[in-house]
Amino acid sequence: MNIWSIICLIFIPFYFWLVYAFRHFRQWLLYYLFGAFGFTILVALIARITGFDGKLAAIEIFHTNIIANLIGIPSQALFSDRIQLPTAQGYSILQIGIECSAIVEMAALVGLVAFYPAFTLLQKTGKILLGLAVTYIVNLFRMLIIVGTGYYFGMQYIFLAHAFIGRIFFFVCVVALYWYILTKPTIAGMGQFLERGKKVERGTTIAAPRRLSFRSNIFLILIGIGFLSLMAGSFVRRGEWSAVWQEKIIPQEAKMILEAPKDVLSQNSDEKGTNNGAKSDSGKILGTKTKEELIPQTLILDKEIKNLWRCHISEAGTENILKDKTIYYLWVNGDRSQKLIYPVSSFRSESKLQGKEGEQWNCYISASKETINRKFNEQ
Amino acid sequence: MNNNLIVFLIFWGVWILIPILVDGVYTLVHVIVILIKGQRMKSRQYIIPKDQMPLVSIIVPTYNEEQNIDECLNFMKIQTYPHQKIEVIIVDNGSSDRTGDIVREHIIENRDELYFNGKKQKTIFSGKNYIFRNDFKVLRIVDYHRQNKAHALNLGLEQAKGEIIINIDCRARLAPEAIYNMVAKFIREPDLGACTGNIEITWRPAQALGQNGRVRFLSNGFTKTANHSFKEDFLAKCQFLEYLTSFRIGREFLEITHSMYTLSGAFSAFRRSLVQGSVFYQKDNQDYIKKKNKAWYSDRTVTEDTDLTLSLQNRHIRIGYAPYAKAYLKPVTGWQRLYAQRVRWHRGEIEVYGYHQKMMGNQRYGLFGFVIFPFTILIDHTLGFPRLIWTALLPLLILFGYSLKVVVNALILMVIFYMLIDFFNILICYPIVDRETKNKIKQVLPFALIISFFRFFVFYFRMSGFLIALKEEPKWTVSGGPIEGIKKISAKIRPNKGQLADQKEK
Repeated sequence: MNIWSIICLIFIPFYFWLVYAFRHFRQWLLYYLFGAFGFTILVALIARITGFDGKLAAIEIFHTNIIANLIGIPSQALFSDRIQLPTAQGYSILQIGIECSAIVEMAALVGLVAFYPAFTLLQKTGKILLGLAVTYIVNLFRMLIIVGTGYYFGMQYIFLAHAFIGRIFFFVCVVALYWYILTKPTIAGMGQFLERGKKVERGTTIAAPRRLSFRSNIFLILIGIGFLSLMAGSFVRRGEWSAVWQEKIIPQEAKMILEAPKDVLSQNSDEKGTNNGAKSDSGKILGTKTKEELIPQTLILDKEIKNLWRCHISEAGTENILKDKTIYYLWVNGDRSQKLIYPVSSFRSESKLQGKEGEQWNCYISASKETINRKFNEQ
Repeated sequence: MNNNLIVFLIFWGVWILIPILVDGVYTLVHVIVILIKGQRMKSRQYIIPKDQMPLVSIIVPTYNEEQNIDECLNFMKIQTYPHQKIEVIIVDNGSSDRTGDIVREHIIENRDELYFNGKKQKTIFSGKNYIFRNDFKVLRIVDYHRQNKAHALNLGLEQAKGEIIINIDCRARLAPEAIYNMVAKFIREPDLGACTGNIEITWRPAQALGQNGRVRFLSNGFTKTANHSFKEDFLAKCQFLEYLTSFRIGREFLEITHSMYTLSGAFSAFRRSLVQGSVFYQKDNQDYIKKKNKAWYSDRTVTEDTDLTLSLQNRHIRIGYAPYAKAYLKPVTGWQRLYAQRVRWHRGEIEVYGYHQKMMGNQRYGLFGFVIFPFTILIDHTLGFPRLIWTALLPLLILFGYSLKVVVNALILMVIFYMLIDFFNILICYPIVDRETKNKIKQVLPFALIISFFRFFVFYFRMSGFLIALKEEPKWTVSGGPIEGIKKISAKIRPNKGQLADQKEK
């Protein structure tokens, strides 16, 4: 039992007692603040202790990957909370952090609705389920924005997509959701309640207006149940579904690109969710060489994207990549040589390459920048 | 700009992206609109032709206001608007203190003098000579029903004969030209149905009160200035800045966009011919409809002024703002009272929005119905929820793997951001205010550094108002705040010493 588990065990009974006390003494601000806020913290802590946030991230990655494949992005969901994606600079891996998993937002939403001192239990249930489904879907779109940006515009724009565009998109959608499930029914309910000429009596619960009828709430609950079933199914059968998806649905071209290493993914992740620690296929080749050695290879131009070429090394393998070592490239095309100063798979040249799809160039790779520089100067 | 600076700006910019989006853009839109369209506001006061001066009725509802009524009436005596054209109606809502006696003294004994605590006074504003004539008629009405402010105001309206009807709060002191400028606005703009004055918080002259609750004087005839504690000073000056932004930028923006949604309860005016007959409440005020259709205010919410404003908007009556019609308002200088005030405001706000929800998003009401009204609700209510969680959650990001340094720096950055917004607002206001307000701004500038903390608490008070509206009976007074609540709970949990002793004896 770790320290967080002990904190939780002490915190939970005290938390519930406190919330009960505030409600009993009709201290609505404290009740709501402690209720919603405490609930959010509680869920986040439990998720962290049990590793649920990682599992949720894996499901999100699984679903993001499916949608990305459907819209033509040849990405691949990896075994954990990461997605691999061919970009203009090579293969890149994006990792979902706690912020991108939206677990805090979902917990906050449940807390804010569950402890809101209005609405009936049925209404709250419907709103929570709808809210969870919408938050999850919005988060999927946020990740698609990030993945799509990386794929179409290059990894250098990932930060912009993650920190600005994705965040603004998510924020706008969440505010719209709060408007729909909290503000609008509150105002409508308040208006109806007061127009009936009644004073609000102590302890009365203001219900949402009739517009949200019993049938509507049942409908919302059904949507929520469908959403939860999909989540549970994805959680339990993700591995099988993923295999089926890759076998039958992914286009042939995408599949070829997806033949990327799977066993090198524990490296190069950062804490903020985005990861440019892409991997190359050159691990096998470099595996038995010394750092300074220069290895001749063939570079094949795959596809031009926005003046940049996605390429791969002809004898690429998937094993024995050197940990914590940066691999540099130099390729030679007739009289012109191109030096890469980017690590591992960043196939971005320092100037525009004039080439054709499928063209093969001579290439050198090395784990030493100095070696590459030396060779480049020789050329 | 070097790369490091760009990276620094981007990294930290992300943390305050949402505040920039919401509050930054909000402020910017206001300022741009005012700068482009607000030029006409700078045209100086309008001179009213003598033959066009209408009778003005001033209604002052009072309830246990012995500390304020003296000053309130004295400041009316220095009005530059012809006193023969003014009638003052004091509606005593069943006060149990000396309010009634003080009003009577003003009516009977001291028609031509400023009167404080039994002494004749020469001046209120030092260095200025105003005529202290009291030629206007003062009428005192006692509302024995002791119902509420709306009822008192309606009683006053029954007696009012003026074409321009002005409601003022007992805590408000009218600047010498306030009524003149307010009337001038109505004369200049014939389609104007209602107008709110410019409310400015004042902490000078802050009078020390004697034991009998009346103003104390020094030997030189000036009122004795009360000593403020830091807390009182902080609250007063933060409220000054808050009102300054709210009126000089907020109300001006609303007037330009024809979207006024709150007439100030402290000082607002109506044109009888336009408003009369347009505003009535069939369900709540049947008795008033029978009585000459003079009921304007309704007691169905605790903010009758906002309710009336939206009723006027509902009937497409133009509502304006008169920046030169200035009234001074005493600040609320206690946390408990500030909490009660804000809870009442925002409880009323949500109730009024409930009543007038049909206007929300309705194109029939133009920019107001389609944009300003829903957007105001969005800012006040909807955005309150993510704010509520994130203001509380931010320090706990450390649990999620963020370093203490990052979180502390982000918090500091947010405070700086809001500080800059306040300074920006002050910068915009400064050129358009009069010299007196400019001096005040200079005095409160240091408080612009810490007003974010004031706004932080006020935000929680607002949320409390919204929540209380859902669960508690509507009341004018609000008892207890969060601190009181905690005290109450701890008192219940821990029996006092007497009870413990009794238990031991048993």
